[in-house]
Formats: sequence, structure tokens, C-alpha cells
Amino acid sequence: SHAADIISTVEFNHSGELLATGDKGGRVVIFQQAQENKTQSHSRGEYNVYSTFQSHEPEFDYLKSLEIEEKINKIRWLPQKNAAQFLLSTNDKTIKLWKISERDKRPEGYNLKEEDGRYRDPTTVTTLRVPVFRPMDLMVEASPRRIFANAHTYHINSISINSDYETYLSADDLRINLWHLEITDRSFNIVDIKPANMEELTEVITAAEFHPNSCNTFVYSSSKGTIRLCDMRASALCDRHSKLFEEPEDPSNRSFFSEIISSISDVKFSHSGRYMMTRDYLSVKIWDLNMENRPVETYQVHEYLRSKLCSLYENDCIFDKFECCWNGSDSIVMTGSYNNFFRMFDRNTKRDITLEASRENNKPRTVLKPRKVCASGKRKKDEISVDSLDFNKKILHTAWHPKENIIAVATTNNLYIFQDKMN
Amino acid sequence: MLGKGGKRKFDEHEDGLEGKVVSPTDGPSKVSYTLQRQTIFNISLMKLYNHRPLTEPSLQKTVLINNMLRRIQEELKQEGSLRPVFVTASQPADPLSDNFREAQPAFSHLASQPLLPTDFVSTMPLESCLTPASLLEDDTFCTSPTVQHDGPTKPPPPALQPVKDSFSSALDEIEELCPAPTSAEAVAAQTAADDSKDLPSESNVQKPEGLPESRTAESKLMDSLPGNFEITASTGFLTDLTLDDILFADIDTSMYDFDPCTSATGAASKMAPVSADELLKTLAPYSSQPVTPNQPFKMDLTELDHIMEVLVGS
Repeated sequence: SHAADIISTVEFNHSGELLATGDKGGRVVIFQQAQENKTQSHSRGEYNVYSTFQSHEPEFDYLKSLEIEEKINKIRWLPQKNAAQFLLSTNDKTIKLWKISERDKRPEGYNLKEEDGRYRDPTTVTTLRVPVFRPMDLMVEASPRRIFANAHTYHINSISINSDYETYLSADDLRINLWHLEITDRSFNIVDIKPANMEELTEVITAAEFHPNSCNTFVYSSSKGTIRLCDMRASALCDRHSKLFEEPEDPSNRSFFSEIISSISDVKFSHSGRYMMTRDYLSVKIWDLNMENRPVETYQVHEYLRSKLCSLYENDCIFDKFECCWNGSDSIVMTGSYNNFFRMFDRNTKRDITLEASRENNKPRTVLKPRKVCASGKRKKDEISVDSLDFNKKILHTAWHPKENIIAVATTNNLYIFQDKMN
Repeated sequence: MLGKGGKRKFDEHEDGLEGKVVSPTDGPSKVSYTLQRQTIFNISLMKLYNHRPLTEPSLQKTVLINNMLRRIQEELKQEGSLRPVFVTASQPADPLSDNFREAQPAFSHLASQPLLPTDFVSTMPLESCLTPASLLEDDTFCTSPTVQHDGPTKPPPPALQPVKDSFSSALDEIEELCPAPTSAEAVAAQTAADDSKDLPSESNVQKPEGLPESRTAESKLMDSLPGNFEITASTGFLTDLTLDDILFADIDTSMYDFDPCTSATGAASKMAPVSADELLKTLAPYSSQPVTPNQPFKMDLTELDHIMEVLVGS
């Protein structure tokens, strides 16, 4: 399969009925959940392709003589207000607002046009009639409604829609901008960490998100493992944070790579808004917004990689940006790993599970078998040793249905949708 | 992937040292902290300078690699006389200056060639100078009394000093220290200083690539500077480590018995026969002996190796 098919983002909409994916080739593919089949009560509707469109095209920056990738970095859905659906998609430089609408009727019976579109000779028209709408095969159209461009010097890593549903933020390595969804020629800079002298640059912004309920509050994470919570009411430029979340380094784990593995690749608020989750290279951390000095929960994703950091630095895997997500009730968190493995952590029972997304090992409708990685010592049957892991098979993007136990897991070229077994 | 880690050498001190020393977390126990640090330093340089993407490189990655290099450099500075052999890979602060263009080819070979850690380990005589991390705690290790140089007392040169100047001044100091240089040495020094452009790249790395390689690397480097966060940002730390730091009293030039008549033309080709392997052979007597720390000539070995590759440059 082609490199352009590499999935780069996965996102359910607010109802969970639609699932959008973006890929390296700039395309967006939207899947729709089929209506529940009344006869097959043991399974929910399947997801089928609903719409496909080209969101971004490659561009060329003539000033720097560099290509601007068309790869879709993030997709975020707007809550549905009318029949149409809206989503924001972004590449490194430009954000676009897309309207996805259905057309299942078309007007027929024009006076001056034939049904095939050819114009009739007016002199042959003898009677008048009123055109009527007739049903047609469902057509899903995507059209760009807004293009938000030229506001980012660096690469956009995040977009997040505010709970007021009127504004949204976009974050690049050094700056965060605030936009109004209706206004494309203007954005407000709310965070700027660019130093006067670029030689002094030691830290970049890695992710940002609005609080789900409080429309003045947002957080952004950094490459040094810190998260800053900012209140837009405090000042126009949120250079001073309201809160700084940082866990002190564990001295027994110090290494050359301590900083790199502490870099946060994703930050996500819980649906409740009380917690936020961060993903760094080896772990997932849950933070209580009221406690800044350490996370309340830490889950090791693949601690067995700690002794391999030098090799992972050499082959660049240490820079992989894993995402993480909450389930609808905030009781389980999920994130990806290597070898097409992904991990789930149950916050209540403290149990965790490793599963694999691959076609060879799983037939449709079979229950996924838990996997185990053997870190050292004798490898038990069915375990896989660390040295056999395939580091090219990485799961960076996962998403959880907002209401049901349905998950979407993206391997390099494939999208897997799993649902829990219903009794 | 690297093999499974074995028991580390200084196990008995492990609990006490881990708080103080950044322990290696990777690889077999005999890879010392110093060697791993150098390996990581080299990998980092390679990542910054070898990469020529069609799209803008990731700023986050560049910053993290840069921070890694800076941290290692800080450590080296604090340790005083540990000389990284690969200082020649440093780029002058202003890559757009003409000085850079002239000095670059002499040093670009280290940046342009993929230095695999295994190559690095196998060719670097530093193997003979492995220092268990525990001994880094010992201050007496860090002295090099027989080496005559400006070292710790000299303030770091200004960041914008082109490498070529320090190279020339290094050669001047060599001549001062060796008032009666052999004709070979004078030729080598002269040729290296004036015709650095013509020197095909040479180093202990197994691939002795010719001039085109270094030219390409240079132009690649110039072009690949990201628009805003330029590679110049990373030069701030490297220019502190100049050739001034690696001078020493005696240069063994016995293997470079050049015919003075050949110096004018074809000097480069005449030097070619002195290959990396031959250099290693001369060093072999040193490296085969078990070296204990605090042996003074261990530091000379590092510097000898370095000065030779700079001067000969075949």
C-alpha cells in the first residue's frame, strides 16, 4: 500500500455515529455507523465509508525552499447544530473548516432544462410546470467553508474547539492562536514562547487543548514534560500560567534520555473536566487539576523499553508521538505501543491489558487475545520477547466512542474498529 | 537491538552512585559511561547534520537533540580535560561566512559520513581509555600534567570565532612547541592550513570518502538550515571546544616521511597512502596494553590521534 495511506489522525464525532480519519496524503475518510440491526441484537452497527475527500494538498514554501506536507495532523468535530456536520482539519500550516452534508433529493421537472441538463429550446415550451423534489441515491458532499491560513510560522500540532462552540485554538511549536470560527483573516496570539534569540530555545509546545466545560481555560504541554494551565481572562497574552504541572524527576531513573522521554506527546482532558491525561514516551499520567506537583495516577505503557533507549534514539523511535484517549465514562484510558500493540488501563480496578491490532492474528468477530511482552528472563509460551518487537508497526492514534465501548485503532495503513462483546 | 545487559562493573557502588552519576542504561557492562556519552554525542551530531529533508525538520526533534548535545558538552567542560575526539565535527557559529566555507571541508567528513556507533567503537582508540563512570568521581583522573596547552586557564573563545582561526593558531602553537619541525611536519601543517579545501576527507572512520563528499555535505548543510531555528543554534556549544584545547608537546611524525619535492603539487595524493588503517597500526602498541586510569599517556593518545587526523587529512 502507498505511503500516502498512512493514517495520521482518528476522531469520533460527538455522537459517535461518525468516525473521521486523516492520512498522510491529505485525505479525510469518514465512516458512519450503520443503523442498529434489530434482528442482530448482539452487535452494534458496523462502520462503513460515508465520505472521502481531499482536505489538503501539498504546497511549496518558496521562501525556505521546502515542501509543506499535506499530511492531516488533527481532525476535530464541531457539535452538530443542523443537518450538516462540520469538522476542522489541519496540516502543518493551514486549518480548514469542512461542511459535510447529505443530499438525497433532487429537483426534477424544470421548464428550460431537460433532465440530463441540456437546455431546451424556449420556443418548444408550450406549458409551464413547477419543479418537484424527487428522491435520489444518497450523496455526501464535503465542501470547505473556511480556510484559516498564514497564522503559523511553525508546525501546527493541535487544534481544539472551545466549549463556547464559537472559537478554537491552534498550537504550533512556539505559539498558540485563538480563532473565531467565522473569521479567517484574523487570529489572536494567546501564547508565545519564542525566545528573542533562537539559540536560547530549549523547549517547545507539544500539544494544547481547551477545557471541556470552562471556556476560558486551556492547557498546553511541552517537550520538557510540563503542562501549563492558562486562563484567558487573566490577560490577553497567556504567557503566565495559572498552574504548572510537573512531576519531579526520579533520580534512580536518570539517563541521557531523561528529557526526551519526558516530552509530552499528547494531552487530553477527561470528559468530566476534572482530570487531564498526558502521554510521554514510556507512560500515561493522570493529573488532578487541583494538584500540580505530581500526577495522581501513572501507568507504564512499555517500561521494558527503558533499557533500549539508546537504540530507540538512534533509529528515531524515541521521537514517536503516541496519543491517548479516555473512554466515555473516564474509567479507562487507552494508548498505543509498538508491534501493533495497544494498551488499556482500568483506573478503578487497576488492571491493564495489551491487545494487538493485526489481521493475521484476529479473524473478524473473534475475541482479541491478550498479549504479553517478556522483558527479560525465560520467555513463556505465547509471550513475545522485547527483541522480537517490530518497531515499524506502531500504533500512534486511537479513539474511543464517546458513549459505547467501541474503539478505533490505527496501525500504519489500516484502521481497526473493535467493540466489546455484548452478551 | 542491543544484546541483553549484563551486570555492571561497579555494582557494589550502584546504589550510592546512581544518585550522583548519570548511569548508562543501555548495553553491555563494558561500554563505559564515557563511551556511551560519546556515542550519543556522535549520533546526535549525525542527526542534526546529515538530515536533509524535503520538508522542514521537526523543531521539537531539533531542540531535543540540541539539548542533548549541550548537556554532554557541559559535562565535558566540567570534567575539564576529557577531549572529545570528534571536535572536528563542530561547525563554526556563522555557517554563511567565507571562513566557514574554507574550514568546513577539513572537518565535514565526520559530519557527512554516517558514523555508526559500531564503527566508532571499533576505530576509536578511545577504547583503550575507557573510564568506568565511578572513576569520574575521582578528581585526580581529570588531570593531564604532561600536556602543554592552555586548557582550563584559557577562557572559551567567542562563539563566533571561525574554526579556521583557531586551527591556524593551533598550528602556530605547535610550531612554537616544536621549534625544529621536520620538513614533513611543516609540509603537512602548511598544506593542511592552506589547502584544506583540497584535502580529501580522512579520519578514523572506515570510509575514506573523497573531496566531493565533503563538498556535498557542506552544501547540504547550508541548504538544510531550517528557516527559523537554524543549525547555528547548536554551534553555540561546540565552538567552545577548539583545537587550542588539544595541543600537546610531542607529535610523532615518524610515519610521515614526505619527500619535500612533492609538497607543491600532488601533496594530497601523496598523503593518500597514509590510510586510516595504517594510523591505527601505529597506535596498536598503545591500545593493546591494558590501560589503567591515571596513566598520563592515555590523554596523549587521544590528542595524538586527533592531531594526526587533522594534520594528515589524507
